[in-house]
This record gives sequence, structure tokens and C-alpha cells, in this order.
Amino acid sequence: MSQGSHRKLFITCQEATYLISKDEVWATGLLDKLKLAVHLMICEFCRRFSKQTKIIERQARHLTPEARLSEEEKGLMEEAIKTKENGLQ
Amino acid sequence: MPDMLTPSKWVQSYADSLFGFAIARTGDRDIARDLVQETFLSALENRRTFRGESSERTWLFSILKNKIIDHYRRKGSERTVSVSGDAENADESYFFDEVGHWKSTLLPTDWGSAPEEARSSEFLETLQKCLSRLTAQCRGVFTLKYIDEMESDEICKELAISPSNYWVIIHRAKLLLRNCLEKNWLNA
Repeated sequence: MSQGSHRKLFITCQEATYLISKDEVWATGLLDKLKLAVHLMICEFCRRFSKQTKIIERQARHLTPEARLSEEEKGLMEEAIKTKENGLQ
Repeated sequence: MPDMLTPSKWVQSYADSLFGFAIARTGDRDIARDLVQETFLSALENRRTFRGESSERTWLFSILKNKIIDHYRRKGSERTVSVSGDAENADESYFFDEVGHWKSTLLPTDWGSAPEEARSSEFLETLQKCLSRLTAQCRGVFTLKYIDEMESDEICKELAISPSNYWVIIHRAKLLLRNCLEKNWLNA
């Protein structure tokens, strides 16, 4: 947030999206919450940002890509393990 | 109790799940594979510390998690080169004009009924791709927070970043991911 932002009630979209992103109760002060509420009343773009980033946060938990190692890669790993095991004995 | 571990079966039993976990968090196939390999080798070196209180699988995952955090930390200290006009490397000011309003070309559009469709595999695939395009530090912070659901103060501690820097990174990650999804999923 810029220096003068403590005095003014109206914040910019850049400041508003920062406050939206900082979504934890303890992290934002009461005054910032008020400023954000005022901004969201008048700015549909930041309202969309807020709604859409919440969707992203919720969906991120479901990320589990179907990734598989090739047999060759696994073979190399097995060899590395064997070599290391022998080295440690 | 070394005999509780069966290193000869590690690759067969755990390599794919460890790899899937690592790739979701690094977005890079080669890095993920190397981290899995390092995990197995570290596990061998430290096999005496395995007490059998957790399963072999849980133990290997905890080693991998530490490797991933080390990876993010290393990446975070590297300077990332910002390519002008390239949204993937942009910082938050890329999206706003001089007075802090959304740039007219980057205004968030209405996603309509997207919330219901967001569960679709296309959405998740695109999200994965968008995540892999972020800088390593951005991706690392976002992943720890929203995929691993780690506490913010814990992430700051693990990655050795200040809370204010942390929120700037979260802000940046969300701006970039939202924009990337809009371009590549909504308007695909």
C-alpha cells in the first residue's frame, strides 16, 4: 500500500486486489476492511477478482496430475539406490 | 531398525506417488524426478533415523516435502528476469495503470456460471499449466498455501521471507493465475 493510503477512504484497484488476496482475518486491519468494502461496492471488476480467486483457491486442493515415471527412469533410480546401498555397507 | 525398511522395493512401491506429489508442486518434470531420486538417496543415508513410528511411505513423503521446500528456497534467492509484456513474469503493476486502476485490456471479465464448471478436469488442467508458468517462488508460495494448506507464518519461516513480501507474492500469484485461467480456460 502506498504512503498516503492511510488517510483516504477510497483505494485503487491495485490496493483493493492486494487486500482481497490478503484474505486472512488477522492480516488485515479494521480500517482496511472498511476501505475494501467501500471499494467493492463501487467496483465490479474487483468483485469479480474476489469471486474468481476464491474459486481458484478452492480448486487448487484438487490438483493431482496423472504423472508417471517411465520404466527407464525407474530403472535408473533403482540402480542409484543399489549403488548407494553398497557404498554405505 | 533398518530391517523395517525395504529399499529394494521403494521405486516400485512409491516412485509414482512421490513423483506426482513433486510435479504438482514444482510444475517441472525433470526437477520432480530429481527430487524423488534425492529423496530415496537421503532416506538411505538416514535410514537409522527411521523409528517405525510412521509408515515407510509417510517417512519418505516427509523427506520429499523437505526437499521441495529446499528447492523453493534456493529458487527464491535466485533473481528472476522479468520480460516486459510477458504476463507470466510480470509483477502486480503489470495489471494496473499509473493511477492503480485495472488496465482496460486486462479487466476481469464475467465468468458466468464458471463456479459450477470449475470442478471440470479442463479447469484443473489449465490451472496446473498456469501454475507451472509462474516463477518458482510464486509457485512455491501458492502451492504451500493452497495445495498443501500450510499456515502463512509457517511458510514465511520455511522459505525465509518476510510477511509483507509473502503477501505481495500471494497477490502476484492470484493476479497471474486468474488472468491465465481467463485467457486459457474461459476463452479457450
